[in-house]
Formats: sequence, C-alpha cells, structure tokens
Amino acid sequence: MAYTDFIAAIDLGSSHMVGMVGTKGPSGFLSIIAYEVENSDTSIRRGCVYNIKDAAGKIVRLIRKLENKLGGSRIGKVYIGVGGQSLRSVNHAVSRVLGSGTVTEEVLKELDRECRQYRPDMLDVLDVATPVYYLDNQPEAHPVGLGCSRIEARYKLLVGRPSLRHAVTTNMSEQIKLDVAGAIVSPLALADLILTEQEKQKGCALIDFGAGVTSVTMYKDGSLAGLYVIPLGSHLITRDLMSLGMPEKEAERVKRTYGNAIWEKDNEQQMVSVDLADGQHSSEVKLSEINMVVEARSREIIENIYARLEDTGVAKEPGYSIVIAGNGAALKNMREALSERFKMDVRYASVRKDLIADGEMIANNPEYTTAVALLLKGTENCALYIAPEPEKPKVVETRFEPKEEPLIAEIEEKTEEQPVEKQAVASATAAKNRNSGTKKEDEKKKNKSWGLGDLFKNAVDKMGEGIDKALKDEQ
Amino acid sequence: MDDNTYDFDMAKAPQTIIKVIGVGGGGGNAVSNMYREGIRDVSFVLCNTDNQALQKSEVPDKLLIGRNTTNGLGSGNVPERGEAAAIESEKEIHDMLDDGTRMAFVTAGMGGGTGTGAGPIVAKISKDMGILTVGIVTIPFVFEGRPKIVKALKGVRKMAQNVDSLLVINNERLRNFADMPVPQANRKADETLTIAAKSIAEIVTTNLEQNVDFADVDTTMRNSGVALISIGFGEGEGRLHQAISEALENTLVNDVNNIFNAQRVAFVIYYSHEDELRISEMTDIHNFMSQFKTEYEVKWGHGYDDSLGHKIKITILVTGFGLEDILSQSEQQELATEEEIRQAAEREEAARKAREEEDKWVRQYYGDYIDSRPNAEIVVFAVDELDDDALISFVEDKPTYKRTAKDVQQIRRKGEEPVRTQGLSFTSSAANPGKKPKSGGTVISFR
Repeated sequence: MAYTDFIAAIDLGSSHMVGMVGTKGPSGFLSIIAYEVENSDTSIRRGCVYNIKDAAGKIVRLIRKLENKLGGSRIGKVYIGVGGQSLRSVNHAVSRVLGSGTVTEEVLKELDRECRQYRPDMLDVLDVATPVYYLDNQPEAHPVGLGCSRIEARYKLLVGRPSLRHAVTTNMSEQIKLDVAGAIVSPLALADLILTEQEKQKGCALIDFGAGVTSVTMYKDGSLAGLYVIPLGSHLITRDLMSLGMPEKEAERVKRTYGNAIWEKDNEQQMVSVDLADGQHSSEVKLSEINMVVEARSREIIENIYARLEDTGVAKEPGYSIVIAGNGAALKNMREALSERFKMDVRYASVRKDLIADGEMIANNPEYTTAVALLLKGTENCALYIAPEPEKPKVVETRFEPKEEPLIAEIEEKTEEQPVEKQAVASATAAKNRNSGTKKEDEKKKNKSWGLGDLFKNAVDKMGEGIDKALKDEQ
Repeated sequence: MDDNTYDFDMAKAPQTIIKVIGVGGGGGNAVSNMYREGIRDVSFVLCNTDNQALQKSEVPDKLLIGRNTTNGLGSGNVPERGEAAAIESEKEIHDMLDDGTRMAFVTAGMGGGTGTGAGPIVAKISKDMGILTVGIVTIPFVFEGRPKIVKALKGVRKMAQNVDSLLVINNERLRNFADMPVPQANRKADETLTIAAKSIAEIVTTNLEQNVDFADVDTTMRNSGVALISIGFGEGEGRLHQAISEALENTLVNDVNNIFNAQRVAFVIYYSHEDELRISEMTDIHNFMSQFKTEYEVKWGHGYDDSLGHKIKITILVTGFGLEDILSQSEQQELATEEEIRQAAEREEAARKAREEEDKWVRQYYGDYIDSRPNAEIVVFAVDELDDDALISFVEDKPTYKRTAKDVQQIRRKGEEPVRTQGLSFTSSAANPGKKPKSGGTVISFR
C-alpha cells in the first residue's frame, strides 16, 4: 500500500538520528507509519550538525529505509528538528498606543508582523512563541474586543546562531537533494507532545536529557516562560567513566548498570569488574569511584538546569513541577536527585494520549519521542507527487487515496517515461538525481564482485600492456 | 605583654610522676576538665599560644609558648605557627617537664593551629627526656570539612612519630549521640579526651587489689605506637561479659577482631565493695584474655571503685595496635616541596598522590562516618556562556570529579583576557593557603 499524504520528520540527536513518517487523521490524531534509526557517530555534536556531509549521508539512508516501508511512496520533503547548542529564548516586546481604542484582530496581527520583522544581532529567530498581551500593563489572555490606551505583546523569540538553522535548511537541502519543509524547534515540539495544558497553566518545565545536550523548556501561566539548551549531555558521563581506563562501550555499560545520580556511601567497598581499554584484561574498580564520577557529572547537569529555572524566575514558584524525558533521564536516581535539589514534584514523561492514535509504545520510547513530536508540528504534505499512470489520468490532486504500487523501480521508470505535472518537476528531478547515485553504487558493486579468474585475467592483460609499452619505448 | 603572661612556676607544681599537658584550645579544655574533676597524684599544665585562652582556665600552671612568634595571640589555625611557637619555647617546655615527671600525657585537638603544630613538639621534647610520653589527640568531625581533617591527620602523623604511644579519638564517633547541639558535642569531645587521660592515669595512681603499676604501664606503652583505650560497664547477670563487649564496641577500630592483634594489652577491672568481683566472673576474664594473640603477657589488674555500686567497669588499654595500618612507609615521606610543585607535570602527579593519600587517611579514620559526597568543581554556565565553545569544550573534556576551581577560573579568565593564556599558569597554593582573596593576585604564570 502506498501513502500519498503523510508527514516526514528527522530528529538529529547527538547519539542517534531518527526518521519517522506519520499521518494525521481528521481529528488531529497522529498515526505512525514507519520509523528508522541511524547512529549519529560524530556527525552531530551537542545537538548541532557538525559534519554536514556525514549527517546528510545518514539522512539520505534514513529516507531510503523509510521509503522501503512506505510501499512505493516517495518522500518529497522532510521536516528537521533543531534543538542544539545556542538555542534559547529571548524576550522581545512590541507595543502600540491605541489612544482610547479597542483591540482588534488587526491590531494583534500588526504586532505580530512587527515582531517577526525584528532581527536580533548575530542571532537567527527560529520560532516565535505565542505572546502574552498586556493591556495598560495588565496581563490579558483574550485581548480582542477590550479597550485600552496601550497594548504590549511580550514575545519569547527562539533564537540560535545562524548556522543552527542553515545547517538543517538550505545547506542540508543542498546535500540531501531534497526539500526541507521546515526547521522545527524540537524542545518546543516535545513540550507540546508531553505537557498538558493544565501543567503549562500551573507551571511546569520539561527537561530533555539528551546525549549531547540537555534542554529545559519552562512554562508558566499557560505560555512559554523560557527555553534553554544546556550544552552538557549524558554522554559526558560515559566519557568521564572512560577516564577510569575503560573503553567507551564498557563505560556505557558501566553507566547503565552501576550509574547513580545520588551519592551513596559504600561501607562494603564493593568492587566492580570492568574490561580494560586493551580489550583483553579486566580490572576491579570501586563502586564508590564509579558513583563519584557519575554523581559529579550528573550534579553538574542538575545544577545547570537549576540555574536556568532561577534565571527564568520559576525556581521558587510554589507548585511548579518537572517532567523529565530523554534517555539520560533513565539514569538511576535521576528523578530523586532532581526532586531533592529542586524541591519539586518530578515525573517521567509520557506522551499525551489525546494526540497519538496508535503506536503509543513507540512514541513513549525516549529514543523516538522527539521524532513523534516533530511529526505533530508538521503541516505540509511530505509525499512526493507521483504522476498518475496513463490508465488512470483522472487523479491529479495532491491528496488522493492510497493505492498499491509494487516496486520503487517500476514507479521510477514510469515517472521518467510520463510527461510530468509542472509543479512536481523539481522534486522528480531530485528523486532522479538520487536514483542515479544508487545506480552508480550498483555498478561499483558489480565491479567489486570479480572472481579470482577475472583478477588473474586482468593481471595478465596489464602485464601484456606493460610489455607492449616497454617495447614501444625501446623502439 | 609580659606583665600579664604567666610563666611556669615550678614551686606550685606538686611532686607527682604523672603530668597531663594540654596543648592548644582543645587540649586545654580537656585538661581544665580533668583538673576540675580532680584526679589524684597528677599535675596539670596548659600550653598555648593564645594568652586569652590561658587566662580563662582554672588550671594554675600555664605556659605561654612562642611569645615572639605569636605575641600571645594564637596561631591563627596555622600548624606551622604553632610548631614555630613550641620550638621557640623549647627551653621553657623542657624546664616544665624536668621536675621528676616520669609519664606525660600530651593532649591536643588536631585540626587547628597550636595543638596540631605545637603538640608534636611538646611530645618530642618530653620523649627525648626519657619520659614515657602518651599522646591523646582528637580528630575533627566530618562536618568540619576536608581541609581541617587533612590538616588534623597530618598532625596525627607527626604526633605518632614523637610519642611512645598515641591515642586517637575520633570526634565523629560522638555523632552517634544523635541530635546533640554543636557546643555540647564539642564539650563531649573534650570529655572524651578527659576520660582517656583519666583512665590511664587511674591505672597508675589507684592502688588496686591486683595491681597494675607504673612499670606495667610503661612496659605496655613505651615505644608502642598507636594505642587504644576503651571503657565498658556492665550490671546484673553476666555484667563482666557485658562490660567487655561494651568496651570492645566502643573502640575506634572498624573491625573489632583487630583489637586482638594488638601487641600489648593491659586491662583493669573495677568494682565496688558492695558487689565485688566473683570467682565465677573469672571465666569471662580468662576467655577474654585467651583471644589475644600477643607474645607479651597480658597485664591485668582489678580493684575497688566504690562509686560503681552494683556495676562493674573494665578499662582496656591496647597498644602497638595496627601501627603499619595507620602509618605506612609512603606516608612518612614529606609531600612534594614547593620547588617540585613548580614543574607542572610533577605537580599534577603529586597533587593526585597527595589526594589519594589523604583519602586513605580520611577513610582509615572516618570510613564509616563519611557520607558526604566528594567535592567536585561544578561549572554552572551563565546564559551567555551557553554558546561559549571554549568553555564548553573544557567542561566536556575535564571530568567533573577531577576538576579544580583553579582550572575553571583560568579558562573563564582566558575568555576575558586572551593575552594571558600562553604558557602554564596556576596559583601557588602551597605558598599561601587561603590567606589571600581568591580573585586576582594569586595567579603566577610560568613560561
């Protein structure tokens, strides 16, 4: 079965990147169609694209793997999440003096337009969160129709270094030869997937413990109070453990097995057996030493989170609560450590049931949650327009019923053969480009599959050539 | 200044063979306590660099040491100053001891200036005079902080080198007395010192039924390294057995069985005329004695103490105990000198070693009590540092548990003044321990 209306999104995590395709039902429910994971290796650092070529290669692979699961449909464009180092919120206020007028939709639109025109120095505005309106310095949730002499809209702009957006939009588009439908601020998307309206109203912060960064998204009175990306992630715990002389893989295992975010004294002086970096010997490490390493780093992360809560002025807010997400939140006693330090209720994240139709299991796997959140934010259809087959020339709308398409190769041929609709030309050529790439690869593979006989024959030929050449030179 | 200091006055000193010397504030308090309680046939002396503290005490014999070094104003928590003060007053200390004293208790609280610094010197003078010298020291509470603990343990090490026998009393034990207010806990610490000194003095001075005399104590304690003293009480059925187990539980050793590895042992059992030691109770004594693996004869005695009523009391004195555990070869070596410190690599190594060493001591004495998490220099980013690549890389590359405040200060400063960054720079911590303000001035760079 092929799909013709879906949203595709890529979450660029520092340890894994996830590609996901889903579709939104009429009531806004999301159903997940397919998802794929690639190891980020070193292409993503602190949530930002570090090596664009490597990252692009991985995205292309992800898309190809997803397409394999789409029963013949092609992906024409993707949404990419941004949530790396340098992303944060800044305040920006726009105001109008209305004299003794009334606030109209028009006034609000004007304010919005003015806000969007604002360009801070050296920073790129990635998104604008819904503002809080102040009528004559009094906050007002629904200002339309009210009278006042001065209206002020206080915005939270989500800003980052310009490269943060470019790396996933124009530059990435060039590399993956695919349109990028948009860059979505992933911590915001994640907060909308996980936090309920009541929580946002009461005051709640979502903390996403990633491998490369930890993002803190804070809400108060129903709107965004602040967003910060702390450039420290749970992978640093692994790195710190490596300083005890174990290789990365072993450090990761030790972190997962023995890691503890709370310092616990160990009277028995327990020893833990670990494999050493040489891969041959194992050694004994004190559990208390592991505890010390892990606790110090997680405390550092926790303190940094607290500093952001303080900056935003929510640290002492009564009833303020914390929701934790991401793989890093799984560290033993992380929830307890946060609760103890912040003196707040801390719960583990789970996706809002009113947003996901099925596949809740997948959505609640911390590895995939952000990708799900991005899907929910996507609005444009990401399916590549495929020209109708000659037998059925009627179907030309962008939205049409799913239909059976047996093989990609077949469609590919058809698309190339058929005269194509103008609007789809660009995307189709993009697909072609990608396809020619695959063909080359196939050829390479063929070349590589020489038998021994071939090699021998080749060698003899080359020798013959050499002798001929030598003879010629002598002459 | 000279007008209001009290010189040691020989005429006032009664002719006794035991002298209890309190050095510094903690030692002084303990000795004042003992003086008030009044132990027979023992004379008391206070030694301090702080004239004010000396004036406060009721103990008549006082010796202000280091008049030129400290001007009678105390040592300001610097052991080196305490040491210098004692060296300056060596003659006076010698004279004070040269009155027929055959056994001296040097009591001091470790972790401050005078006790930590001057205590070992007083002990050395005494020991060099051939007096049986017993050091009784307290080491601080865990909450008093690592620097103080380390300072204290260094003092203990020095003390151990200069006495015949050393008793270490870990204040942290007092924590077991639940929610005691801090001043009361401090008094309790002084009290512990008092009990320790008093118990030994008692063994020598009390005339027992089966006596343990000075010669016995001398044999037990002379050049015996680390000693432990422990007291237990028992009442009713199996009271002696109770008393013995209580005494064993009250020791500072983490593993009670260790006590039986002690080289020399002496113990005394006290009872009242009301309820004397019975033959049936001798089995308990026999069982207890047979557990010791020492080659020396276990010296023991028993006698009356009518304040006990129906209770029975046992005072156990073990020496030569775990000396190698407490003072290993490597600990005898001095820490790296400042010259060496200047070579960055060696400095790093030395610092690491020193820390490990310190950890070892701390664990030895506090093993069970330390539940505070280790210190780590945490970097909390300011908002504008969240995108500071240099700082972030540093924070990433240097594991939190290994980081020092200096490292952080340096990298943050780097951001402000890029010119300063060439070459290694670090603060000369050894030269001025915490005297100068942290910011500015303390960074010395070497190219």
